[in-house]
Amino acid sequence: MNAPIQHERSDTYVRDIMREVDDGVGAGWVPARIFGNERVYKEELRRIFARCWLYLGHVSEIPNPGDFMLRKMGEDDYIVTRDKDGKIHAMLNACRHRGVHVCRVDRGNAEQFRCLYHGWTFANNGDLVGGPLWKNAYGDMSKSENGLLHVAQLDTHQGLIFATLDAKAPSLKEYLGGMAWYLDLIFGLNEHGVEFMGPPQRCVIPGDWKSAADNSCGDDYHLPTLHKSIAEVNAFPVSFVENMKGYHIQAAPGHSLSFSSAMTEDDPGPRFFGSPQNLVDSFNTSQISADQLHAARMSRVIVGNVFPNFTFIIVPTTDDPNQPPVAGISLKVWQPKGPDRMEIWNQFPVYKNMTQEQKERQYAVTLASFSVGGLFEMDDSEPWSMIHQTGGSVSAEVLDLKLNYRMGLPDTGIAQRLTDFPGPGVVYAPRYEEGVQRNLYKFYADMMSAPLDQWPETSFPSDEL
Amino acid sequence: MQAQVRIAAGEAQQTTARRVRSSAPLFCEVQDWLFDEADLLDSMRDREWCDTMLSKDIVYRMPVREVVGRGISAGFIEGVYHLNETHGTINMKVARNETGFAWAEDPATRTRHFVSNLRVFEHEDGTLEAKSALLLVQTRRSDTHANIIASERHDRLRREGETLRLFKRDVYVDLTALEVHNLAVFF
Ligand code: FES
Ligand SMILES: [Fe+2]
Repeated sequence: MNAPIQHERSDTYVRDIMREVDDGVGAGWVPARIFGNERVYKEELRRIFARCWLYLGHVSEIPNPGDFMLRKMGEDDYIVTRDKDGKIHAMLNACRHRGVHVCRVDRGNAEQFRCLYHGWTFANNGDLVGGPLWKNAYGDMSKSENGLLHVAQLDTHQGLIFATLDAKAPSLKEYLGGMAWYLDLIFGLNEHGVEFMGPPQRCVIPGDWKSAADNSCGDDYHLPTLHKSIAEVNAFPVSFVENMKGYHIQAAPGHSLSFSSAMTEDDPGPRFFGSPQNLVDSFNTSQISADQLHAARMSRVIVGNVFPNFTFIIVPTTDDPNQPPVAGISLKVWQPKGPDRMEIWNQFPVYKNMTQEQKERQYAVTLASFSVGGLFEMDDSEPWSMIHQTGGSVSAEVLDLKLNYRMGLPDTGIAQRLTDFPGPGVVYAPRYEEGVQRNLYKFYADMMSAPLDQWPETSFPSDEL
Repeated sequence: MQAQVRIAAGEAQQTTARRVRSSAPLFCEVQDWLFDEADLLDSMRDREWCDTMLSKDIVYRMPVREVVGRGISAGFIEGVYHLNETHGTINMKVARNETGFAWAEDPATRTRHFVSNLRVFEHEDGTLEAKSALLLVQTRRSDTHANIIASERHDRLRREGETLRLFKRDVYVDLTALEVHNLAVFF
């Protein structure tokens, strides 16, 4: 027997690239070779997607015992279930006999999953229940050792379900760190919480998943150019210069957001992202602190990314210049699907205590802006479809192409660090700043470089050179 | 979660609508309309399409599809969409394409709308229903790989003055995850 194939893991090619990222990102340089690179991508699946906490969905998607839905962790399918006691599980969609998928539909309600190959049957908590002619075939063979494989850790934050395959990963609370404070500004505003307008919209587009995550950390600078057409048709009422006001926040290692809010009570603009008054009346401190409620009240826009690939956007927007804007909420998962492709999962939360009419209006407006056919997002996929081509090119390697992430460094531009911001994290203003993305790539390099059995030591904030 | 009711493409057929045979002049008129529409969309005349072929109260939708067990439904979900457009939003997309900054469609992708398997029905109120198979083949820049999206379209047409106009379109796609660059083109 040959020794298990380890050469990929100890391959210095990827390690050297990651050292380059780690060395350069603080000064704003990222080698293009991390994009569209087959060998880097393979390592990402193992080192990032098999270790970090990944977003799987929301508890309201599986409200009843027996409800299940298929979700992805990296490229792999997991069955997320609610068992008869109401407990949520996430299990690899693979029969323990020969590895056949035991769940072949996207969602439903089932007490058991019966494998179609030989009929092994698993309860919705993963336990192996039995199989045909079990005694003859297996006698007293242990069933408990042959249940579906569970994720290493599963937890929720404000109803958002996350899981990790790494038993050594820190708790979800610790992993989210300061990012939880900002997620709460959307998901913790009242005791009712949110529900989703249906299962995900799924589209496969060309691009490296990192390009989408990178954009979602707070790439406000692309608006006046990439999204110019939207201003031309009067669908984006804020001038682009005005739009650069606001904050860039590195909330925790890897997790960044861009945030716009009124500074004082007298500042004009929407409160609570432009939520309707009857909804605003229900916002309270049952789930969040008074500071958070105040911050939410002053908020106009948030776009952020929980490392690696979970994005949340809340923006007052409209699908018709003659209709008032509403707060559109969109959640996105940038599922990795190769070095050159990603699968976008778009979901649209609404507050449970909105009227049905408000829910439908908010959904329609968000779909028209922040979905694959939405006015904003349809242009976003265009640059993302080219970055991996550049990154994967021979020229990028031979000419040593480094991409420029320098905006907002001490000698570059007007952004300044703030120390009196009410929320956690490292905060810069205004939003002429790419520290949010440097934070992404710093943690990325840390995860890619740390030994597999060891959670990386991270220095945070990353910009302290 | 909202909107759990699953609908099947074709279920709406339980109407009192009268089948219009392919030998009838009315069938030919609808077919000509669909071919003319395909021509406008494939030759980047989306402004003309929007202004001359769509009704002001158009509802234009592409429902999301999911994988469900055989015999349950076709997997479409009432109220869950890839696209849910009105004349206002369609007009905004067309206007966008005229700005010179609509990068998703500039350089424009090449589309070919192949329309076939047409069946026409006439409702009691005189409006028409057209069910057709659509194969949308799309290429971009110098890619040789085409995105191919197969779907079944359920269209509702009515006579406004001299001409037929589209007042409802449901696009039932075959795929649960669409392989596209974006959904900037019209189906
Ligand atoms: S592979 Fe599942 S029972 Fe054999
Ligand atoms: Fe964008």
